[in-house]
Amino acid sequence: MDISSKDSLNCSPVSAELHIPFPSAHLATVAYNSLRVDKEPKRSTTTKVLSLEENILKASFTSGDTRQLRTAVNSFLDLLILVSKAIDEFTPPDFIIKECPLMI
Amino acid sequence: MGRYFSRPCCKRAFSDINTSKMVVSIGFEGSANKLGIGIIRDGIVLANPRRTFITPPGEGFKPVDTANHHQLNIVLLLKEALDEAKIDPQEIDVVCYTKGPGLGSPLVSVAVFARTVSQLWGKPIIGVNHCIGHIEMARLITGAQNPIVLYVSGGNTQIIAYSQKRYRIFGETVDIAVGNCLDRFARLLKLSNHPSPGHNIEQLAKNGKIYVPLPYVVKGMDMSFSGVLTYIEEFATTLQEYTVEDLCFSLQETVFAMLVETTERAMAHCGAQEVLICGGVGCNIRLQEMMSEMCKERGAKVFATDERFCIDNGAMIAHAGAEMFRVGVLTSWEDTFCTQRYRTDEVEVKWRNDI
Repeated sequence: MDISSKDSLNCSPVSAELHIPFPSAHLATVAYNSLRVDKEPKRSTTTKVLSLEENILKASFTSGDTRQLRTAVNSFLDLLILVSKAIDEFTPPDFIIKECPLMI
Repeated sequence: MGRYFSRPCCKRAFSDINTSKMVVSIGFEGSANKLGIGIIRDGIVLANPRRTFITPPGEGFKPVDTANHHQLNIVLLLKEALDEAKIDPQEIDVVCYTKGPGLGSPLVSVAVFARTVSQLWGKPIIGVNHCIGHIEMARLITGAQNPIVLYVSGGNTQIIAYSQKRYRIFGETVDIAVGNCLDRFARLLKLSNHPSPGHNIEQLAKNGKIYVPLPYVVKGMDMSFSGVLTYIEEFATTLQEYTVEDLCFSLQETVFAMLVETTERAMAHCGAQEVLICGGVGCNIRLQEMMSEMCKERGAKVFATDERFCIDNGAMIAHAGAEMFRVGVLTSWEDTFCTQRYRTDEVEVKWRNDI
């Protein structure tokens, strides 16, 4: 990045960590599975790591550039909001997520 | 592709196929500015609503804005589709979505949504190639048996012939798609993008009186459109003695003639007696006319669909996905990513048994 050497916002990697609680571990798992598949765009220096802790979805972002970090976090939150809308509207009343050994 | 089932219920659903249960599939499409959701049961379209992201005249659609549009509209569109089809999600056998090709963030927005409902409803998920969606839907609607396919849209321009389990790309654009050429010319003229720029060029072209000679670039089986675009963009800024109608008319006549020539070459190579036109540019009546004239000379037939299926829609994804599902081609969870470049010939067409 040609701006990083002179830009005071880029002395060291910047990071952000999000914790998003869901009503149940099942629903947190749905969100986790939907959001963990896509990789960050190739030109981005941001890495994103998702993890699950019971009903809490954790997302941690690390980037070499603050503006890229903002973009990555915003895109992630937009998709998270989309997932939660889908959950609100289309979860069947008796929903329990089905176990699958091939889905890690 | 390995037969990894994304969840145990997939095995159960797949074995149902052998008892000739009718497959109900839902397809989610959003690779460009059209968001479509389609529901198909056993080859019959039960619902196929669509929303188009239309930008002001002179502007094209950018990926981030398009992704926003899809995210804002997809929940209501799904409700509309389910209502129109009069089915409960539990009746659905498979969830299909567009894996690619197309624009990155719109594709991902739709895929994330599809992955979510796939889990909530407990249904298997299949990633579909957008081009194959167009081809299979057009085949279903028109009944064309083994045509040369001219697939022309804002994002793709390919001439395709089926052979031994692959849709082989015989010829294609070496730079931009023909629809992209038309769309960008419309932008320069500040034509309305409603319902689509190509539609408005077609209407203006009907009143064109003078043919302006433009660069005609066919290289063997391939075509190039960026040169004619650059050339005609110069004309549009000065206009000289030509009207906007003349320019639209001339552009269509030129680029469509290029498509007809390369299609004819493919027909001659393959001994084909059928042409199937699909993709958004396939709505254009002038293109269909020119293709018909060529085919009449050869004793061949032209097949085309109307704008419900020419233009990007969800049902084409549902149908292609249902075909894949029928022969047991599923997508493992890790493979439900999206890809902006996805060649038509990358997919093994296991559901066709003809040579």
